[in-house]
Amino acid sequence: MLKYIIRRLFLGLFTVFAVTTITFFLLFLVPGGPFLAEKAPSEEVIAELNARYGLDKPRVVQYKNYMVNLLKGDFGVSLKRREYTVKEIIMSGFVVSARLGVLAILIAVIFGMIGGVLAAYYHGKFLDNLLVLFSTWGVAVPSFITTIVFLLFFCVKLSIFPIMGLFSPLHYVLPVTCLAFYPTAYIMRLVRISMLDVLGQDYIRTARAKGLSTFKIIFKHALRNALLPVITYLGPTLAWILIGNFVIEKVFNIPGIGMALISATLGRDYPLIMGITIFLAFIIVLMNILVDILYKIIDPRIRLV
Amino acid sequence: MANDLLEIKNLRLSFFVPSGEVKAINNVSVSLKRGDVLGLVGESGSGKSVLSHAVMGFVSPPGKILGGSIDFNGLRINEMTEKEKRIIRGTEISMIFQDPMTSLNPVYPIGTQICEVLMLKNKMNRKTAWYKAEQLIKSVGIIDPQRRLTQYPHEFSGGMRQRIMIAIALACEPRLVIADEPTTALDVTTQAQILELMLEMKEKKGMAIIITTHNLGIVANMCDRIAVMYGGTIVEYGTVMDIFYESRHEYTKGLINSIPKLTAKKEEKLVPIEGTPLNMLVPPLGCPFAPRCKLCMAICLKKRPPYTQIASVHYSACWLNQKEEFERDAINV
Repeated sequence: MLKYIIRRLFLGLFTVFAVTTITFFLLFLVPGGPFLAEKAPSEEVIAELNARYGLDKPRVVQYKNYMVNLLKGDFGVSLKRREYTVKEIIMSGFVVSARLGVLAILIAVIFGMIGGVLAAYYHGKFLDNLLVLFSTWGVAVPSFITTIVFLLFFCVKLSIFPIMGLFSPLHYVLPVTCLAFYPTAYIMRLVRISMLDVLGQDYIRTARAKGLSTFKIIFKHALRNALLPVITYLGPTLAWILIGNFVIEKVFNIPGIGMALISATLGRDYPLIMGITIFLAFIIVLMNILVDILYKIIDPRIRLV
Repeated sequence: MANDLLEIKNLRLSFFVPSGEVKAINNVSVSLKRGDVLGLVGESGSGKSVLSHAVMGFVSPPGKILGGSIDFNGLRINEMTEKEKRIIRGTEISMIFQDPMTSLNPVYPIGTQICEVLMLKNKMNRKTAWYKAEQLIKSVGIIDPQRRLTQYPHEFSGGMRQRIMIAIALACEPRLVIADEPTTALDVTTQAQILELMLEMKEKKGMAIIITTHNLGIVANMCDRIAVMYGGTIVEYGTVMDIFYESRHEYTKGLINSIPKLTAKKEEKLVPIEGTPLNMLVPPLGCPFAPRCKLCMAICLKKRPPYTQIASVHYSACWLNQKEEFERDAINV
């Protein structure tokens, strides 16, 4: 097991390396530069700045410099918020995004699973139809629409919740709900479908023949078998949600990583874009390893090689 | 008959599917004494599995019991609530299924799956249950039980898994074990071992067994009574001797003829029963076997044959047994 994890981490480093390299060279294809503003500075000033940050050197040399620094653990300094290092910006954003993300994932898993199990158990009945309606809606409508509709309705029309920021528990309600909306709906669909499949299996009939209660059959014998697709989905989703949803962070003006990524991209803040991309790649790799280990724990038939 | 453990009377059971009503069990009556073995023999779709599931109380929509009764040890199963049925399942009646490869939950060690029923029904604690499970799987012929209990179903062969299923079924010493094609999914040598094991367990624990199969050869040395089913009804019922040597129904004869013979010469072909199984959506008016019967008469297509008592416990539903009443104008269909 330990050997497996080490091997996977090692392979993951290659993935991160590939992502780093590709992103680095892709960034040069994007027009514009970090020092262009509405009131453009003179050419000399830009040349001076480019020289100071090493952006005047050939790309390959820049790449070499960046990678050497990266190996030392140095992600560089933000070109826009020059008083901060990239690392500081990522960490401060991650704390905010992850706090929202963990809450959202918890809600999504709890409600998604309960909803999915209920829908499967009452297959074809009213409750099932209702839950399918909800989950189809949740999966089909993009988050920027639900988010803005929620914002308009709960904050502007009813003024129940504050519009922006994260200053009190009440501030968390809407962003977390919006963040959890899609995964809840998706998990509900997944659990429903795989539960329907599992409930038709022979070993469920065996469990019934043993005289077990419905509760035990569903939660002990069926759910664990129905969990694999959910875990598969949860890995990458957890990574994305921890890293912050830039739509929701933008709408609610939350200073998470998503926000940082938006401003970095719009401002061509190369080191920050690189930093966030590498961080995201790393978390996704980590989550995928975690998912594979969870697979093994849930289903003993799976062998990790 | 107070002595009977199980008595099924005039049972009618249908599945209501979008294309109509499938009459899976049509007026079936059969009984079983304590400690006896009843073989339900018939081809796919003859209703034998549905019947055995009904005894277990496994009738769920679109299936519905339309009439008749199932009495088990003084309890009317078809009138019990789901909760009451749950209490007798595992303790009074238990079941062994056709496919041992899929009948055990793949994500729990087999020890857990055996102990589960012991802890629930016999109120044992984990330790005694585990100890009892050890003895159980040892008694069904699994060596090194201590280690084996911690293993998962995928670490066992098909025959081993069926042994474990038997151990689970016998855990609470039920009065009746229903074995629904327990050997169909196994290879021939394993089949023999499993049947032998079932007989051995029966000798030891004295429970009654209902065994369903489409292979007459299997039940021959195991059953006290055989009920041959076709098209949702029992067409012939009797002792093994009655069925094998004194058969009075063309379908039973066909079944016996279709058993491959060891003495057959190389160029001899297997003998099939001509025709295809019934479409139960439109059951025939007369004898269900009539469309495939070589000796079909005009009356066979019009009216259901009544049971004729041939010997003390030998009954057959065939118009040929009542031929003195009718002129024998055989028409080949």
